[in-house]
Amino acid sequence: MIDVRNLYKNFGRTEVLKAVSVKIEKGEKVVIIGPSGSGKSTLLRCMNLLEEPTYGEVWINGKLITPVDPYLHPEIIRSSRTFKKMYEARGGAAADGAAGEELAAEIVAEIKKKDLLRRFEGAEYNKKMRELYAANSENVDKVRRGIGMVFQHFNLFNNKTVIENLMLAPTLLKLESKEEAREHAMHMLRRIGLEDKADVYPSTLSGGQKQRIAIVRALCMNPEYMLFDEPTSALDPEMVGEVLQLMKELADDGMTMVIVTHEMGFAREVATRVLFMDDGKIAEDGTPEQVFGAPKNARLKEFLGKVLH
Amino acid sequence: MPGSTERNVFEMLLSDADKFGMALLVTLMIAAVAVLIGLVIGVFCAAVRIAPKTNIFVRALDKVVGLYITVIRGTPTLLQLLIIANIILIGVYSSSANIFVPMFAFGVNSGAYMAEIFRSGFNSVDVGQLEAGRSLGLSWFATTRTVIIPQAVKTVVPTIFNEIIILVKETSVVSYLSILMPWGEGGGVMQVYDLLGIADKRGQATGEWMAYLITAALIYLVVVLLLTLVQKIIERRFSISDRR
Ligand SMILES: Nc1ncnc2c1ncn2[C@@H]1O[C@H](COP(=O)(O)OP(=O)(O)OP(=O)(O)O)[C@@H](O)[C@H]1O
Ligand SMILES: [Mg+2]
Repeated sequence: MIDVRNLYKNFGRTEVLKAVSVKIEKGEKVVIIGPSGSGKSTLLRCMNLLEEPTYGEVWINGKLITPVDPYLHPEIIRSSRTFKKMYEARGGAAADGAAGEELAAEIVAEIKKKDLLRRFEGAEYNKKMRELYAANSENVDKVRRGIGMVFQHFNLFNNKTVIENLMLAPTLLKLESKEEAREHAMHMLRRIGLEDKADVYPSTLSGGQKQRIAIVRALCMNPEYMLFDEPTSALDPEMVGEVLQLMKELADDGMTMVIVTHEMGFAREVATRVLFMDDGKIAEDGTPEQVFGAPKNARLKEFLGKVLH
Repeated sequence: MPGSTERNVFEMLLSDADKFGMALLVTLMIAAVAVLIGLVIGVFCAAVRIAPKTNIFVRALDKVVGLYITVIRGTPTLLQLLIIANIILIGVYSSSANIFVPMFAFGVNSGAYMAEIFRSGFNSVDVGQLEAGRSLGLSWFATTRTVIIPQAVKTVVPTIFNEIIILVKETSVVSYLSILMPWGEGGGVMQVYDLLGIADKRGQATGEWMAYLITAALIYLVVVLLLTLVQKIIERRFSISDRR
């Protein structure tokens, strides 16, 4: 599961993501739509930490890949100096069990709301932060092996041939021997009908070919999840179909996919769930039937009016 | 007769051929060692500048490197040489092996320029390829080594050669110092000169200053032309691999 918890992302003063939470289960095909600049790419890039969130946490398969966000853990807030001082000042010591709990919950809520935690919150707080991190964190590079990503501009390695592009990560990471990787790569190239391009450089390929190779390059790592950031936006219209076709096949094979796209037909057909992002928030979250057929959010209606007609 | 004075000048220059040879050696030695020092400093500083600023140590180092580059680029080379010789490395400069002073000074000077060259070479490769490598689970270092640097090298080679050529010529300001080498009779210390230095000294001594300066200019020109030739050969190698 990809579990995004209360994510904030600021670029300087601009708040690009504001309290975004979303859980993506194995097997789901989630399509993210929304106007330009609404934070779709940023959210996607936070899921594999290409972008580091300002606040919030990202958990992949129960492993934490961001730093600990203390605001998401009441027990950590309660170990802070700020909490203890406030608890004291409001007569917490005199309060009995139930009243004490109520007061504590109130203070935790206030600390969260007003962002009262400071850099130095005492030894107990630091210890709790460290313990939570040590118990749950996983190395990002390792987690990324299981999350393929496909970019708008393909991002093939220009100094490597097609087959070298496919073999590089599995061999460098010693997941496969050279021979295994080559066989695996050739198998993938045959699957997309590009085995004759194995030894050419990316610069000689069409956009559609580049993107399909970028997709199988990610697949060569046998990922559990695939993230797509507008995979067809940079393509000539006649090449969009071949890339969407490959993505459909992937979906039919049961791959868990998160796809940012403007291809509404594809979204309707393939998505099990559609997220509409607006102004850094998830403004609507539902099945394609709900989102396209009976949109509730006014901005979504406006957006659909623009892209569907 | 004008012909005879010309012959005299030629004979004079020819009889100083060994002095010119020695001076060329001094110039090339200073330049070569300075280039090596410059490359090492340049690679290191560029690495610091482009590395992800993940901890305070790298950030602090980055500030120091930034300051170094600003100071070197913002002050004249001759001034840097004089300050290094008379303040920073005064101990070495007063010794009998003080050729290390200009070697070091030009190396430090060149390192700042080379750092900028390496950095812009790195930045010339689309960051998307780095992100693609990272998204596959490769580390920053592994992606940089296997994908970014091989592409950056192509854009860096011509500019680095340019810098080397500038450096070879710039070593001529070393004639402001007196360089000692343990090459004298019976292992004694003797003063040596670089190309411009020897032309200046012998030219004044013989009264044929212009002829000596022009000779030095021609030797510099030949050295630079040879370097340019090497540059062209290397560049051709890369453009062949481009057409694959
Ligand atoms: N590296 C960055 N530095 C500064 N601002 C950024 C950066 N990346 C994104 N932004 C800003 O964040 C906002 C959201 O960007 P994002 O790319 O996530 O939007 P998007 O929904 O993917 O839009 P599009 O449909 O145009 O791709 C935009 O206003 C953008 O200008
Ligand atoms: Mg985008």
